[in-house]
Amino acid sequence: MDRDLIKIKEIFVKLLGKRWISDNNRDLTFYNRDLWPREVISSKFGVWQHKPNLILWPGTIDEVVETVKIANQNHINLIPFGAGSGVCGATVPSSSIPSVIIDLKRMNRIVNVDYQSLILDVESGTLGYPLEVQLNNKGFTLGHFPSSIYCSSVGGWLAARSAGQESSRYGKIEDMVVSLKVVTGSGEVIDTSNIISSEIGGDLNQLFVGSEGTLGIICSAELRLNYLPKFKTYSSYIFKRIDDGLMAIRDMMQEGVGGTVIRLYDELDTYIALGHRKEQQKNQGMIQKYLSDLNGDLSEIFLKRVISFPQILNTMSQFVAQGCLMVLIHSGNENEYVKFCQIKSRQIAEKYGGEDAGEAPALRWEKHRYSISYKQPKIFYAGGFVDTMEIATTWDKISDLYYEVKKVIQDRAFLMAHFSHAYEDGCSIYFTFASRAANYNDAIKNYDFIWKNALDAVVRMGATISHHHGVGLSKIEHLKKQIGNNYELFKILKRTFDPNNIMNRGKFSGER
Amino acid sequence: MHSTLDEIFELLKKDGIQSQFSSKQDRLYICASKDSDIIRIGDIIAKSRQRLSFVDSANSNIIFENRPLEHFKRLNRESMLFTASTSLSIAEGESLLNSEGYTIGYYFPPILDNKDMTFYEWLSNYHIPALNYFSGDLSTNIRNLSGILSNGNIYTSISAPRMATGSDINRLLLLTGQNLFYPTLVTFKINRMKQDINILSFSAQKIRYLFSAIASLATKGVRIDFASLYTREDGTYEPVLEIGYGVDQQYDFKNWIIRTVSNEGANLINTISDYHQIRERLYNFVQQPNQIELIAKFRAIGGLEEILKLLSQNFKLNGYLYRFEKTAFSFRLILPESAYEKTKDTLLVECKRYRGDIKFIDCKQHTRDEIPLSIYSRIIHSCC
Repeated sequence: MDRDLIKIKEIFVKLLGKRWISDNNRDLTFYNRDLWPREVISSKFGVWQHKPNLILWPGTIDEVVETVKIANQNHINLIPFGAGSGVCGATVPSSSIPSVIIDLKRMNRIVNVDYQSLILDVESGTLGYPLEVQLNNKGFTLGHFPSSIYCSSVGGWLAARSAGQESSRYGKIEDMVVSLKVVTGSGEVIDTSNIISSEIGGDLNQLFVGSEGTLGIICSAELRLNYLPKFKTYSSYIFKRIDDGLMAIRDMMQEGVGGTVIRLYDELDTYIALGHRKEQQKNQGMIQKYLSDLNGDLSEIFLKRVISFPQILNTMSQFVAQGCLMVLIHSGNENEYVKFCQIKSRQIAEKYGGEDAGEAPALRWEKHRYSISYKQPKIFYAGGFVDTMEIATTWDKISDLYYEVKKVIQDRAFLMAHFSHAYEDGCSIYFTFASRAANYNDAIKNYDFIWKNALDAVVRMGATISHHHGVGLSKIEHLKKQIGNNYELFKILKRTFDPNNIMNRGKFSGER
Repeated sequence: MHSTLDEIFELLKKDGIQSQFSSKQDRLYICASKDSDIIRIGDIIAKSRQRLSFVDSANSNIIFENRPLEHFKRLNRESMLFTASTSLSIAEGESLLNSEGYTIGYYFPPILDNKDMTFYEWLSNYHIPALNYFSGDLSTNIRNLSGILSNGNIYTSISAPRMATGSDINRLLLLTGQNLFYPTLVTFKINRMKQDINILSFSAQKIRYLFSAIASLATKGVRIDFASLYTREDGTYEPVLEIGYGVDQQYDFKNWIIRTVSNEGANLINTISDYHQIRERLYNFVQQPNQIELIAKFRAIGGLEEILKLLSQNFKLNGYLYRFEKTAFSFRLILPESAYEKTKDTLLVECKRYRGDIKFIDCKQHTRDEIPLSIYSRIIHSCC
């Protein structure tokens, strides 16, 4: 460690105490990345490009303010860190100056719960699952259920504009924000709680939400709560074609009966989702067996085959297609209305040829709703990589977007998709793709090729390059392509709130 | 190097774009007559390294004037989106939508009754309507903005239902209003027209019960379209709450609404109100000159009642519910001229007792809040 860094470390020790600072190599290695698969590939091949210089764990907003002041005085890059489950490299230190990770997990207090206005005041280091459990115990829910709920934090959700699996009912995280307490890059505390959002002049929160730590550090937030629903119904339908299912979702959303959870799987994803069905396992051929194994035991041999021949498997999967599964969950506190929505949505599904598949697929989805992400490491161990891409557009373009992205990826990766996060005006598409990673150079080349071509197609089609994962390092070049000259507007915000460019350099508008 | 005003004038003239010098020759007023002019103006300004202004202020010497542009409108039925030139009047837009079975979804009379109000004014004034609970407000409905920035760049956002691509730039442009951006085209989410609007009227001995009823409807997720609450004849009689809900599907929300409101201590009354009566009454309220708006989180309902009680002891006042959302609502007080200034001082003291839970806005001044205002100034300063 050079002299300047030793001096800086001493300053931070004075501020936080020795216990809450680390320059231990093991810690620095752990914090060198989030769950961006490109960095996971690098780590797997022993390539450590972006180690930070220090890790800090402040415990109060005052300590955060002082930390930012020190960073300004000493020209340090500060990277806010929640739980590290981001998948776009937003916390990867990529700056030309020393980088310090500011991990907010100690700031995990529930400051207040207002049961009359249904407002939760919570610190940003609070992890998702324990928070939801505490609220449930009191009869409430935040309504935010990302698949990363076990390993993501409130601050991370806000920084990346996260979405949960029940966004069709409760909205995305930006829809839940009442106010924020932010320490900007200049060390100023902005508390928007004095500004009720319906007031004249609009909503400042939306400038900080999604800024991925580039404008400041979100220390706490007031979020809208909901009563825990007492009643739930489960339904599922099989559509012959993906387009039929999409039209059904659109009508359900526009009629206001779309439900709490509404998900439509493409043919391959459906096959895997229904892989547990006993009748389906009878008489299945080799390909069917391979595919249904994806849902069960992911043996290394099997995975190696899958990721070695993605294009063949993509083609063959068409022959086993058995339609597209839609999973629907309606919930609420007015039983009669919940049932009404279920009946109405059934009528819409039937209008587009949806066949009733009973409650089982929806119940099964709910039971395993968070488990899919934890299957991904197996693919890395088997010599491949896996990643997900969440894009969104309006209903009139959704089907074209799906086929276009599929077309540009399918030769390079084993590919499947589902449609979730539906709204009255459009929907998100969630692609999952896996491919081989025989050696570092080939893997990165293949990985970058897939992303570049897919996002080029997304920009060409006028859709958004991210619905809820954020931008980070992975999509920054395509963000520039998408917004062109208007990239200057991010720089205006950066100059306003972080004039010395010390906050998460190299992301959005900041120079490295 | 910056181009001179004369050089810009000549370039615009060459392209047939109207511009005119001020009498002192120190300012140039530019006027686009069609949408394609905007792109050319932007190009000239960007190359000149000058800055456009959208308001005529002492600091600017090139001013983009608000004149009628071509009226462009497109209805995207499949995605329930409407795109319109900002020069189009809201009344014309609403009428076009109505003929197709859609609506902007606003019930606030001045917006729809003022035939001259354009979408540009809607955007630049950041209009938040009353009676719009179900349809949301401007900020939640806008999907896409196009226009010209003060540096001449043409801004066009993409249209997606939701995005995770950084700060909400549309929101930034709307916040900074006419200082940074001139919107020329807007796309927003529309709503299906209801077959009918049913209205239920409730009264209660204490206004607190009616506030609680609104809070209960909002937090329990009962699907109503709007709520209108007003004190009667200076608060000497029972206040009245009217709930409007759309009739567009087989489900009837009536029982759910009655149960929820009655649980808070209000009674269904026989007063027959129709939507036009409500609009008319609200319109009359809005036209009253001296108004102060009290904004309260639901948890401060008791405090709001205390403040109203205190004020009504000293002044003759009337009031109505202006708007509400999931966690808060605003209530407007109409005051006699003599009480206006004095009331503000009283309110300042009273609202401070409730910290951030109750605050007031002086509607006469119509100023933006202090904190965002200072931030807007800094943003604008950063871009210049």
